[in-house]
Amino acid sequence: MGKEFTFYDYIDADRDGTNVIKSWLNGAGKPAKARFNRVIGWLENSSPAGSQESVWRAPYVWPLHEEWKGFIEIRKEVDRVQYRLIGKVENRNVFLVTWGYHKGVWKTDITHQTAKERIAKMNNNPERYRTEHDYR
Amino acid sequence: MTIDNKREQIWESLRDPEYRHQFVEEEINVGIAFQIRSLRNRQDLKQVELADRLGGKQSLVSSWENPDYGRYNLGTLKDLAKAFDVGLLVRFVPFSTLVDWALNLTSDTIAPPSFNEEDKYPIATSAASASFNPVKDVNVTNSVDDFISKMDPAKFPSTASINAKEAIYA
Repeated sequence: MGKEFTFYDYIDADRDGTNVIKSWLNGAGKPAKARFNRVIGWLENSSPAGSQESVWRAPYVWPLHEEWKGFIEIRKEVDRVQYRLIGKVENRNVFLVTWGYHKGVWKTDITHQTAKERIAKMNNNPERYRTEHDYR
Repeated sequence: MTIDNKREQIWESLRDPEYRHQFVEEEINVGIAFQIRSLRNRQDLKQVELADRLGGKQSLVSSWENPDYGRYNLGTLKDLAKAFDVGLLVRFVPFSTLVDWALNLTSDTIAPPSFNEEDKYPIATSAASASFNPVKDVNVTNSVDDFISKMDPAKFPSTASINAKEAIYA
């Protein structure tokens, strides 16, 4: 049986070709990396949002609001810091574009406009700007 | 990406001892939470209804469904298995088995059918049990060499097949 969803990491091909998601996960610490990778592993094989068995909702996936509306995040708290992996679900694809932290206030490394631009690049030029999620 | 590519990636990440211990912890934390939520939904139960079956509070069910909970005990898991009328496996396994489990998740392994559901559909039962066991070849083999010969070295990035033979002959 095939996967229900495929997760993709954003590749910063306009700079040095870094897989920004893999790079961040490897800097976020082992507990956060393990949490995000296992949540992704379970979500890949979970029924789509809205169906009876769906886990595409809190406390597994949170929808973002306001200017980030349409995006979702996965969370993991380590030492009182909320690490957040941010992406967007389109059909059966999940595009992971950036990350955030919540320690008193919510911060991301890019704006919502940049996040939307990354989604467009991943859709329009998949070979250059995305790779299937890297678990390493 | 093929499943073998993914297996290689996960295996490579597990070479870091700290990460692989976190992997085990998160597989339990995330996996049990996902399974309780998914089983409850499959059986069309509200949190309060499951809590009633267990003689507990709705807030406790809500906690169990949260991957941050992480304090499950065996008694709770056995009570949940009974409430859902599903089996429960608690085993120490080699990492290769854990990786296979992670790679072979399906909606039926995430939210397995209850005994009555399986009993109504015996053909589905055999299919479900076959897909449930990631090392099913072990169960149908007649000899150690037969078992070893069925192990695909490409699926074992380490010397697992050699170690398995040593372990069985030991």
